[in-house]
Amino acid sequence: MNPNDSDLPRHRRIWASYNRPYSGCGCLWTIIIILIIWWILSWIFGWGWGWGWGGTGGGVTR
Amino acid sequence: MSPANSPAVNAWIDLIAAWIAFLILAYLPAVAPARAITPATLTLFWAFFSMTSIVLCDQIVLRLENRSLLLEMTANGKAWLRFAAIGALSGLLLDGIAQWLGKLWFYPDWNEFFYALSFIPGFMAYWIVIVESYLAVRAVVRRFRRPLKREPRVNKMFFRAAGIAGLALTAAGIVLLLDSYPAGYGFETRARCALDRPFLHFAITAMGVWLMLEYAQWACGRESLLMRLSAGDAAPLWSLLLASLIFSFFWESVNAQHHFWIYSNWPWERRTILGAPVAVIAAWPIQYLIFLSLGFLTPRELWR
Repeated sequence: MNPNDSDLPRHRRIWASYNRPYSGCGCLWTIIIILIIWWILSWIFGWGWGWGWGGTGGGVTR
Repeated sequence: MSPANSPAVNAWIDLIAAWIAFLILAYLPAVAPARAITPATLTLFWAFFSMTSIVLCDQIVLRLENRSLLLEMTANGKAWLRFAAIGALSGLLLDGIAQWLGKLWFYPDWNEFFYALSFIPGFMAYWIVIVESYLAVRAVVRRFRRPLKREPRVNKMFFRAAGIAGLALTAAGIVLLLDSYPAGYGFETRARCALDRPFLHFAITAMGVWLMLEYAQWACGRESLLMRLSAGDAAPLWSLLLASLIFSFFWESVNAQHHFWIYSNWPWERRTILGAPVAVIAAWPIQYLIFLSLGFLTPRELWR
């Protein structure tokens, strides 16, 4: 696990490919990234994310 | 091999590029259409924001000091359990005092069920993001200033007195906080609840908690901030203040877009920077002080 120890080409040296010390946390982070991408796509295609989680909204205009 | 192609330089270019991408993505909710902003998507966004902050700060420390707090805290089952206990304790010391008692902020999007569900994982993430940000800033500071090797002057009487004073201040602060309620105490995390000067009472309680933690660190044979200062080493304090300044602006400006949490009952509340009261920015170092002092529960010496 040495971030500087790599002879791989640049396209392989992005963090997730060449230096992945975080097994469990990295997996969770990847799932979150996939959901974020889905969220961004939902702006374009109008998919619903409409469920509320029981809050008051605090009077904030959204 | 030219310096531009060396793995070390390339690794730094990757990390800087990742930070730049993250700084742009952090303001993503500002351009999201209104229908895309719901409690669920904001929760998802903040999970992304805090986890990415943790990983990117950890990567700075990994590259500069070749060690990782995140890996140490998640190394095995026992380490995870310790991490969860520290998260729960951090939540009790921060939200317990400032929110449950002080009503200094509230979470408009979550009912009690989701608040309870996210309490321990949320504060595990928040504790480690605060600590990692300090470690990252300190690692950078150390590139310019070597750490002092001098041993601290430990005065037994001083730390015992700090413990007793801390206990007294904590007890007094909690009594004062409970006394701030005009119609008796009520647990409320979702809505504004007007109290009489809770910030002053919160500050007294937090100071008491910090002094008790100073005693605990000494009693467990660990280093503390006051010990490092007594050894003439001010780098931990400066790193703490600098990390607090940088990350308070970052977090508060991101939260200002859609107010995942909302501040209430702060002094000079109408004077704001980036949507947060000035007093909030000024009080950010308090949480660093408390969270870093909990480092004595980990194998890692955070102050040295």
